Amino acid sequence: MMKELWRQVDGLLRGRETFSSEETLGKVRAPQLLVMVLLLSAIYGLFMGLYAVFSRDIPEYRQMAACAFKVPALYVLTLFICYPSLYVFSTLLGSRLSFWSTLRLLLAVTTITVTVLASFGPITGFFALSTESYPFMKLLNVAFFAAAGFLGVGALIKGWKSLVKSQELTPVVQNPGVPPPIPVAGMRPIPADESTRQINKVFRLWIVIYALVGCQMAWVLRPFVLDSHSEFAWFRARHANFFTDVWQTIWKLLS
Amino acid sequence: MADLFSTADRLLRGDDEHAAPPVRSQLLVIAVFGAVYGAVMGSYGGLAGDGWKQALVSAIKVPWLFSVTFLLCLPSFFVLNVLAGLAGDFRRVLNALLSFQAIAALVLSAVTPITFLFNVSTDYYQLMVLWNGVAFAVASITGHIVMRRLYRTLIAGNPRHRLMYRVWMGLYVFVGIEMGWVLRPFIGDPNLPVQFFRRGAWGNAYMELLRIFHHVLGG
Repeated sequence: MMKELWRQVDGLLRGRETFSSEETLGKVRAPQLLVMVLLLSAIYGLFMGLYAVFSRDIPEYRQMAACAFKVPALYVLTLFICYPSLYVFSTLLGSRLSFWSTLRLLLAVTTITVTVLASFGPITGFFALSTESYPFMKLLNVAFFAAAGFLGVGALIKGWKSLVKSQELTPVVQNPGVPPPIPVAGMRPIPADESTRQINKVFRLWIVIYALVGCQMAWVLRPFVLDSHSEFAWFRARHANFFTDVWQTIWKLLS
Repeated sequence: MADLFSTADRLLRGDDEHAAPPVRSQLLVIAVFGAVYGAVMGSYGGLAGDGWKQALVSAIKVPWLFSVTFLLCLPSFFVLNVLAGLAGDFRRVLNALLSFQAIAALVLSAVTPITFLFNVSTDYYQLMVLWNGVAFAVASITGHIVMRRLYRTLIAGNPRHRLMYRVWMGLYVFVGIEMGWVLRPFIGDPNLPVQFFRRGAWGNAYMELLRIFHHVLGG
């Protein structure tokens, strides 16, 4: 079981061929990937929660449990919030990717992100063990999440491009009984490559939105690291936002 | 024993990459030769009384410094290599990474007699700190040169290895500095009691650096 799951992830990390066409993408088993996303991000969550155990006199084990739930929630919720907009806009612009293929692609890329993140886990754990400084831990985690995110997005862009390209090459199967559509006078049909360019533009915009939603989602789910002076809480009240806090943390670290 | 020395010899010659010693014997080289240096380094305060404890502790710490840092960085480096499409070369990459540590341990053990001479001839603790710092620097640089040599053939095969090499150095140094900081004391000030970890040392090297920086700037 575990071996089978890991084989899927390993194939994703190694192979670009998964993303080469809709057909190969169809072979990806979405439920298995979902399990791996949950598992790997929970592993990182455990390492992340270690800081709350070692930084205070009375270890706060609940934070480890909280993180093991929150990190998977962060990825899965962000995915499901952003997914409909990508599907709707790319289909509007003429992408022929099906609903499930798009979802599979995103799930596959999330798996890559989370694998990278989980592999940073031991380093996070070691620093959690030895560091007292809360701003340092916070920024270290932000850096690891950012690194994992960028690598994931890199894979996503590559996969998306080759998928869209493969779609362009396969001609649309015409029903022989139906005559080809008659061009309406005054309305220029969108050529295939222009349509692809538009899709790619929308896609890039979507990545920015995805990143912003992810950051804000992380903010909603805080605390992850848990300051050694504050009480444990599953969630915090609404206040400020992710970016002002990172900025203030950098200031705090430097002053 | 003979096997250990022949492994060490092969590592030092390092001419035939394909005949690289197996992972296990490389790890053994790191453990044994690193421990030799650690034991001598830690015996600065003399072996009488509790002194031998510091020697023992340091003998554990030196191989630990190299190999645990290596183990902590390995998972992320592996995943990054696979992502970059370099999974097929990972066996050779691992060999290069290990030889960095093995060579560093061998160089350290080669300068052990000098450390010993200092140990018995001076009672100036700061000098010992400085000398050991120099020894570690020389060992790391030598290991680095050997690793670089092994990596050159990898880079020739696939230029992406160059980026990965830099990533590794970044990760390893980042974690290694903190590891060295956490593992203090290595030498053991004879005026302080022997201990595995120094009280109050359980901190972050980078935060300490920032603090010193602020202090110097009058902050």
